[in-house]
Amino acid sequence: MTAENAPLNGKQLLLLLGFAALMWLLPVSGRFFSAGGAPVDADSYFALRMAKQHLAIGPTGWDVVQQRPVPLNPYHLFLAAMLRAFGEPAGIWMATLTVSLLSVGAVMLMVQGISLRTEVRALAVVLWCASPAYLRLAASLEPAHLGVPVVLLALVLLYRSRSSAGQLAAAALIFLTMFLSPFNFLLGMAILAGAALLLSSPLLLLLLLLAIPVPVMWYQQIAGSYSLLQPLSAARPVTGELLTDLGATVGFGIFTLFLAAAGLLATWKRGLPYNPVHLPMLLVSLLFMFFIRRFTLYFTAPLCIIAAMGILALWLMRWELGAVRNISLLIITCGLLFTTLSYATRNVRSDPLPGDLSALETLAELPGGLVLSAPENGFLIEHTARPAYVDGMLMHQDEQRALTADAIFQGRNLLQTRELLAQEGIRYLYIDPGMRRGGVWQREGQGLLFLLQDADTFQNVFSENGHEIWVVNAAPATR
Amino acid sequence: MIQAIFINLSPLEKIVPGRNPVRVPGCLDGIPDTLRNAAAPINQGFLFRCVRMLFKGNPLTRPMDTAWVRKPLKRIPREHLILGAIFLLSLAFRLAFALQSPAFSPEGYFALRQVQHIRSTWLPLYEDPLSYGGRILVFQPLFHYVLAAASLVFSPVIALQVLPNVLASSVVIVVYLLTFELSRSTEASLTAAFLSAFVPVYVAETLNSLSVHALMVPLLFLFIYLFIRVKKEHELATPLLVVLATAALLHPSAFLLVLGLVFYILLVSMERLERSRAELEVTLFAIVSVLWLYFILFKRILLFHGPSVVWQNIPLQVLSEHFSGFNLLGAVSLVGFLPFVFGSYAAYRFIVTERRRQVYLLTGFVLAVFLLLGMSLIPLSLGLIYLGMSLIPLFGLGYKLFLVELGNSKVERFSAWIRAGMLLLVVISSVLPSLGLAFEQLGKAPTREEFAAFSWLREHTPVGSTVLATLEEGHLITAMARRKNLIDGNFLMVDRPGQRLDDIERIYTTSSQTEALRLLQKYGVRYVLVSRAKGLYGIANIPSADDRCFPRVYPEQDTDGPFILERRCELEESA
Repeated sequence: MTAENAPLNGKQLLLLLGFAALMWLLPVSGRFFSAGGAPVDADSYFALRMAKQHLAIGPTGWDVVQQRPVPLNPYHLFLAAMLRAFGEPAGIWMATLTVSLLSVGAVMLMVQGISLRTEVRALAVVLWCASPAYLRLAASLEPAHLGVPVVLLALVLLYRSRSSAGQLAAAALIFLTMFLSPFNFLLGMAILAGAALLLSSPLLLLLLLLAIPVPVMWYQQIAGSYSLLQPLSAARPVTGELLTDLGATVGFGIFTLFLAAAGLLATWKRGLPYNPVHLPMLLVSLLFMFFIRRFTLYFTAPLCIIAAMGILALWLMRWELGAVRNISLLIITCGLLFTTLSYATRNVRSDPLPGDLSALETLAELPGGLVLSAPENGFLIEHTARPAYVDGMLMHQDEQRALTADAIFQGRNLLQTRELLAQEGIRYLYIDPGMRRGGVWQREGQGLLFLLQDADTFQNVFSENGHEIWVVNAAPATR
Repeated sequence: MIQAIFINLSPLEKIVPGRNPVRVPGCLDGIPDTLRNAAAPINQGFLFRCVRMLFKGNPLTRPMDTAWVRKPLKRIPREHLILGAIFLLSLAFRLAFALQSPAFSPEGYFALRQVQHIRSTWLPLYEDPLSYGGRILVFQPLFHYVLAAASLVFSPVIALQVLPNVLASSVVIVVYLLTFELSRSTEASLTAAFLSAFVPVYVAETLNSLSVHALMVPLLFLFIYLFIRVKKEHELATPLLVVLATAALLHPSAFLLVLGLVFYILLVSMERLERSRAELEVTLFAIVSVLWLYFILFKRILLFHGPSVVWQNIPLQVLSEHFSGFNLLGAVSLVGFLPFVFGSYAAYRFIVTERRRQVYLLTGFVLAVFLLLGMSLIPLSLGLIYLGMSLIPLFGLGYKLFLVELGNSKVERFSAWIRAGMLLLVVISSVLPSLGLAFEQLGKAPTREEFAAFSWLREHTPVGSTVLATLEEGHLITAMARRKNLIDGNFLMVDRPGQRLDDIERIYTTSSQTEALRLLQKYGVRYVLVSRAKGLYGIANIPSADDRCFPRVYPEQDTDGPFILERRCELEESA
């Protein structure tokens, strides 16, 4: 080992960890100022509610509010442990901090294992901490987030440890992540299969064959017709979710991609040892783009490593035009910073915002009853301990519900709509500005918005900043 | 008597015998000397000597750290005189049309409004209360600042009608420089410069529309010229970067340049030609700087529209209209027959047989234009402008080949006649179509009757009223009538502009008064202008109009010209 590729020393590690903590603080502090510390994204509220339920009544595999089976998820258990240890809301942010710092540690271990210059290692960690994926880890609660450091750690173990013990440990970690989400299940299988072929390890192949049935049975039995191809029905197309700068929920930064391309070109000549598994693995990894949000979350870390190589390649390259060199490198740095700050700002302004939260607080104070709103609001509504007619899971589990909800939203026949509302037992309507701006309706007075004028059927009990709660008089009072 | 030129050296430089600085003459060098020579009599004048004494002090008493060197006067090269004449001819041609009318083409009124706003507030109008009834505008205001600054110094006529045409005519000089760099033939370069002054589609688009492309096109080709030279003259890197930055700040079509450079690098790599590090570095810089700049400037619209922002939210009806009249013959006539033929031949010859890298650069640019046109990412007219201008330096190369072949052929004694015939062909294939398109462009400007209608709207309608008009008239409503419009050519950050276009067509053509009222109420329209809608929809009046709900409020008498209806009925719905 030369001085050039010496491992990061203690001071450097401390600095990087400090930077990681600072980058974690960026979106978190923003959320505190803008939304009173509420995590980003409605899906976070599902995880939070399940964690609180585990705390209250223990892990039962049953959703008390929606009265449906829900797979036991290691992330919910982890979050429950954090809430027990630190209380709410500190427990929420300690959970995200733990996941974030674990991911940084995993990336550090990953770069230590590869023969890279010290600068590239440090840059890789810095790029990871400044990436949209890392900021997403910091600001929201999703089971797949826990998978990031665990999967990276498992990859490090597979890469560095050739012994059976190391492979067993890696397989155990991957097996654990398979219960986090369908994406993690497929990713875990792909990693085990790829590692078994690359390392020519019969042990890993055996573990893979043994491991497959368990999560499959688990998902099938408990989640019913839960669709593994759920992400295909995502509202935004794949292209819209690939680049952060084009509005992706979690995407790659355009300059990170550019640097990664530069890094790939720079290392092209060095070449990799030939292995026939490389190409199929590359093709399989592209298939994961069907789960585009998870794809960008998980593939950002390796991309940052390659991008770090790209930065070094550009820095060390012999430039003929000095002015062009300096300005180009400055612009690339500014571009990376811009992506980070832009994403952090967007995070800060993401739903749910105080308007959503105050409306939900009002909803929580009303007598019990089934609430109809857009599926994106389902988990937020359930967080108030009110059952939602459709949420992010139900729209895939129960297609009929999704169709009925659409019929109610778009119908202009008052009698038919009353009948549907009574038949489904819907007591409340929750309407937010996003629903009026194209989420559900494209223009004023469309569908249900026109019918709301009927005071006999609909009574407005809350209206603030575009958030409205309507009581439906066609349904029974409680469910 | 030999007139002397005085060159004032800076105080830090001293003339030491035998150590005078030597400069390598380049193509540009003659022009400043020419101008200096032309100003020579002024240097000698009494007034100049007084001014010089005021600033520099008495030559007898000031410190001897400023030396004056006499240099013999140079002859102005003939080709520079011809170039100057071509520039003036181009300018005269343009001004002959532009100054015929004080009006601009409809799309120019957006720029006019911006210029007016910058003059009064020093800031562009980003929050427009009138366009689409009120919206945020996202655009690059640099060109509007240039016009506003010019209008502060010069009269509005010079700033808004002369200056854009001066900028557009400057493409003549740039094309001459570029073609000379490629061909090293003065005759070919001058012919190319002459052709560039009369690219029909370029004349039409930049004549009286306050179009940013009047500056953008010369800048892009100046960049190409500097890019070719930077490989050997590294000191041109700084001006190259300045030109690129200016182009990127002016208009998003600078992205065309980046794409062209990428294609060039790819072509050079594929052909295994010697790669220049300087060119690679500039390409890299162009990619990162333009990308970064556009992500900052257009962040809002990128987040609003996502990847579909590349189509600029232009409704399908408008996009298909842009390309519906396209055919190869029409495109060739808009670009110019000779540039197309000679340029294509030169591209083939210098790519396939001689493999000259500068030709790959222009080819890369042409490929980029084709790609963007094919994906409908740029309007047809803009694509044809860049296509036409790219073919002209190639024409110069082709023309030089033609002259060489002519000189070696048996008909060499008729070369003067052949050259004259070529000139005639240039006039017929480029100048005459330019004339025709220039007249057509003038015809698009608002008429006196339309101005009168807009004035009436401005003076007789409430300030926040919304006026229905066609897409073409949108900017006229906001700029001249100063009222809200329903639609105009700025589609970015607008929700469902295609729906609006359909609704507007429906209002103008439906015979159902209920339908018309519903749509008018949906957009809050109070007044309906029937002017260009007559030709667009083939109507004499709105079919659903009657005196009760849509009385004519202007003009009082029936006329064939524009008229305005007022909506006086409301539609009520019950559940």
